[in-house]
Amino acid sequence: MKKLDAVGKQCPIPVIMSKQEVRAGTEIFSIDVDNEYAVENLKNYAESAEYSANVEDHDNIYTVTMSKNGSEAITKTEEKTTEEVAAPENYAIFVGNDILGNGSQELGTNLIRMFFFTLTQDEDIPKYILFMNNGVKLAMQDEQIIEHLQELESRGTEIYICGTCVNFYEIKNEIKVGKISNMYEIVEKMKKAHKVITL
Amino acid sequence: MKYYLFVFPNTHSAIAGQKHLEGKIPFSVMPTLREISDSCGISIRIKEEHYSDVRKIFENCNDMEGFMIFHVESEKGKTTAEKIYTK
Repeated sequence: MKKLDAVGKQCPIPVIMSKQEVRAGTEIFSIDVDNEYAVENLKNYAESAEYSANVEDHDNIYTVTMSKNGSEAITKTEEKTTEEVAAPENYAIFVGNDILGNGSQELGTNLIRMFFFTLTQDEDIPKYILFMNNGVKLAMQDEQIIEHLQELESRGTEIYICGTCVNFYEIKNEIKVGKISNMYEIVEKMKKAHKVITL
Repeated sequence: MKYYLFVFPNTHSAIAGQKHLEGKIPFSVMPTLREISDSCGISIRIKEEHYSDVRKIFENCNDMEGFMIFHVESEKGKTTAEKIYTK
């Protein structure tokens, strides 16, 4: 049985590692994590992927064994995937700030970097990512996020960065991803998208 | 619809301009028309009857260099903007 080690790995890495195994068709595998939150996330993911999850706890390491449910369940999952692929929707992400959520700046910075990382791990990527106000700092100055954006852009995501906001914050960096845009264009993309997710 | 649009070299001037008008002359902010510029900017829109007063206020301010004034006519989706002044 394949064994994965996610000890010390931050959320959402354990779920992403499991997702990759499920997509690769691995029917049974185990993954080690070091906290109960990761266990809960894995159990929730297992349920959505039609796998069962058994947990063993030893010396503060949790081994979650994921095994595929019966063949009927597999067919159901495949059919659902086919339906989803048959009706793709263009969605947009609006980024108005340089952190995710309220509270700790440090946590917020980590969260937003992990958010963009997580986007790159999925097949269903946004059609548009729109940056305004403080959000432009991420697309213009945050190297980690710029790298994730470059990958998304190479896969077809269009990235728009408000020019007024870049001007206001006097950001002089060379643009490495996306294009400098304007309110008209940004609103146009918001209306074009089937849904807009605001961070 | 006809109005005057004050366009600035940077966002800080646009914001300074608003502070000079607040409480004195009614205005609205709007993105700089695409017919005028490709890059987004903050423009100040005022009614035709307030044109002389606003121009006088801005010309007398030390922090209002480099602005332009356009007379705009917008009707049935067609917009024309004529530059009438550059400071």
